[in-house]
Amino acid sequence: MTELGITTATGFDGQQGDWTLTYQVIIPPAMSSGAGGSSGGGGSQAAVHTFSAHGKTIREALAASNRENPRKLYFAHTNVLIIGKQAAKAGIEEILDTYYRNPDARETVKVLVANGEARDYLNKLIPPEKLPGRALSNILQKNKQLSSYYPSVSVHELALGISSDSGAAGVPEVSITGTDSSSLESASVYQQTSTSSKLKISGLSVFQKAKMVGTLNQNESTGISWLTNKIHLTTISYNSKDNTDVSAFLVRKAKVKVTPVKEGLHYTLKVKAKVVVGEFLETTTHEDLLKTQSVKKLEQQTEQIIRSQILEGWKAVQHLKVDLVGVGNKIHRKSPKDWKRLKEDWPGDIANMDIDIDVKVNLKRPGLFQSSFSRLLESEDE
Amino acid sequence: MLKYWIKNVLKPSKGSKQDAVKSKHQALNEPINASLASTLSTLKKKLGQSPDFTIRDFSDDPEHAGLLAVCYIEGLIDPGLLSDLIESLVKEIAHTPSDRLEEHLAASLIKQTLPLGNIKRIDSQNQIYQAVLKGSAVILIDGLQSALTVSIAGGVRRAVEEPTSQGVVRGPKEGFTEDISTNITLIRRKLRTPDLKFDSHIIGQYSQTVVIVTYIEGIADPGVVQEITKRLQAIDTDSILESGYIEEFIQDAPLTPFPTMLNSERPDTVAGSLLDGQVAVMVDGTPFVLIAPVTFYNFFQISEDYYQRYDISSFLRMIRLISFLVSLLLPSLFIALTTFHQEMIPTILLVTLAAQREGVPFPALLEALMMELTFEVIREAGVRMPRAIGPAISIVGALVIGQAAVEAGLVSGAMVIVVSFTAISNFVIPYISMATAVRLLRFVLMLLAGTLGLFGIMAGIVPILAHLLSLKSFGVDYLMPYSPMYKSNMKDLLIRVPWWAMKTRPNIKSGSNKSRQAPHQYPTGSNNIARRADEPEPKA
Repeated sequence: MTELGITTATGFDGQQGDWTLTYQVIIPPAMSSGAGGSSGGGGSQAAVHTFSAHGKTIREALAASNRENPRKLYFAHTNVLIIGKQAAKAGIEEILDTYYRNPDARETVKVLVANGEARDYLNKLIPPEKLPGRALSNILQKNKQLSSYYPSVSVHELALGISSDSGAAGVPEVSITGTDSSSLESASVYQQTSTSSKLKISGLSVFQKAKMVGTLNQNESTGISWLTNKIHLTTISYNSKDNTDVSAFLVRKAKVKVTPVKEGLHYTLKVKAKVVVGEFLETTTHEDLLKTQSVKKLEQQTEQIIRSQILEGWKAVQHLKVDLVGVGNKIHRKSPKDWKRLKEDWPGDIANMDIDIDVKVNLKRPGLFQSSFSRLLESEDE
Repeated sequence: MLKYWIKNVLKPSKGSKQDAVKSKHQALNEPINASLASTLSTLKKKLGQSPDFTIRDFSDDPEHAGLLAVCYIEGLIDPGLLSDLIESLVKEIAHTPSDRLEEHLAASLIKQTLPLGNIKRIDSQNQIYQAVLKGSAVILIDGLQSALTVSIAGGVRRAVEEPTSQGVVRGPKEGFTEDISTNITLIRRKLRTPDLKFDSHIIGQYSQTVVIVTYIEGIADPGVVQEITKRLQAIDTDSILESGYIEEFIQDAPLTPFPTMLNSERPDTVAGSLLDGQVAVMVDGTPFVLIAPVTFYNFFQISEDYYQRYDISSFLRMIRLISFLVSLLLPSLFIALTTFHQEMIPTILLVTLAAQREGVPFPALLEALMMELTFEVIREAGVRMPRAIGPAISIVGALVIGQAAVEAGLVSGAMVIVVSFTAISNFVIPYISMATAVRLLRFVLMLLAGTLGLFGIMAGIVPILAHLLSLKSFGVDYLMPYSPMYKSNMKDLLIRVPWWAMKTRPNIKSGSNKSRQAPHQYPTGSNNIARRADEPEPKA
């Protein structure tokens, strides 16, 4: 066990014929002694060490890493796989092939696209977490569970997506924000209460087959989450029509049904979104929440917001001409004959598809508080 | 192959030694000489050198000198009974006319004079020795070709005390002693039925040990009793000093680490087993009584299970079985996982373990073997050591093996935890004979795990399981009632059902009487209590 270099994150840069692999290896003593940061002092040590290796192929680069690394790299505990933007644009077939061909790497590893070179992301720490690779994977997981803006995609899901009929997959993209990002490369960053620079999920990279073709922003990505029924928990905030009140609404349970419906030779996408359990989180509304009418009104406002989110996502997909929603798969399953005809132009056809969105919101819980505070203060004034 | 070899090497050919013992035995079997003087001189030659062998020949009375003599061994008799015996003999002698026939004297002694029970007539030299050595007084009468034995056995015995190796919190605190008649009494007091049988055998050319087969007629399977008797009678050895001798001679599979007979020093355990249809073998000179036939699961049942509430008893049963598995498998699983299957350990735990192992110079297998052997040494020392220096060992053990070894970087902290938890789990197994089987197999599994990983562990478990399936204890399958399956017997294994639900005995071991109690004894609570006159009627 002491001869293993437990790798928590792997980075891929380059293209076919010239790969640069970057490994983030855990230093166990630094990890467990607590000296990895917080307790600090000048001698504090980062819990991970990063190094890169070049090679003609991925496995050659791995073999080359033993020229500078005394331990056998061990991938079973890798949390995250970061693909550099250039590599993503050049194509990821080779990366997926090594992941599937070799038993030492797991397909359950989360995938990220780096907004830049992967090697520049792997040597950054994410305070106060000790293992940046694990922290990134947890960020993806928590984002998926608690806000549903971006999906959390494993190597296997990515491979399934791009090899399906739709042939597309979205992978979250990570960026470095702020200035002086090199300060994240030293363990001394643990001694600061805040950092001037951070790693952040900033968008959704869209893959068409093995190549990355574009990026979606957060709103567009949320729309895709709706269309792919991947909403777990999400918070929606909106202004009232006259822009005087703001409210926040929590979607606790939602069901989205997307069906392509044939109309003549043309397919229309029917979207039925239903928020089964919705909760009120905060509001400044002056409406009386005890009345069914006003609750209906609030529900309708929420429906509007969700509809516009869905539409935004759909428009972005149409613009990129990428079937991120998986419409192709659905058509294939529903009528294989039509698919034979359609797949010639797929996913270019998607730009001409109509969409019909129907949103139903069910406000189940107004919270522990009935009328809003704004309304309470108002009634006292009277 | 191995079995064959062991049989041939370990089983000695019927040698000359046994024959010698036999011929000596026969030579002693000659009739008693009618002349008192000659008998006494033979006796003196044979036993006279021992300072505890006493002959009282009343030679200080000139009138009746040479008429009769009493001989006994001092430490084996009860002095009170002896003085009664001597007193009545003196009276009898005083009233005996010198011309009275010896035969009349003997008859009068048996019928009238002696104030004691258990008087026997014997007529061979050998029986004299046997009787004397058993604690009887032998009365030799001049001119008579036989002698009288009077059982006045007594002497120093250990009192009935609390069992040291099988204690309970709730339940009777008495344990068997080394004296077999006390032990018989302890069982009789629990089962006052004429059906309780004690079949006595004497085994051992030199030790002449009393071995008693105990069972309840009607409940025990007569076939099993017969089989045990047959095997006991086949034993031909010079001594039986403990029931372990008997166990090794009569058990079904001599080459197994698993015990196929259970031993207990608790009368309540033995009584309970007898009521389940098992047969007990008691051996004079040891508080450990053997019980057979047994199954694997009997080693996880203790008498306290039946005294406590059934829910906690069932829970403890399962804890014991889990502890058995832990004690068998934990070190080998730990070795396999840390050496070969790191991907099965959660990341953070793996990092913690790796950090601990950083700087440990040995591979996990060696580390585990070292720690386990050290523990075995400490354990053995703890058992063998004088009581007074016991605490010293525990301090040295805890400090040296635990803390210091970790701080010195010789072993990792996790390994200390694994080894000590394994050791503690081993103590949870209620019967030491089963616990020791696990101790031995654990080392085999550790070696397999250290060389072949989880595959090695499976390669060890499968033969162990196959072996357990093939084991039998006096005709009963060892893994009964799970294999073969007897659903009706499962109410007292993993869980112990309440007493009112235990209608039948475990049927595979018992004879004709299968029902333990009347059915429908579920406590109905207050419905049975007559309502007080002033109590209001319950509302419908």
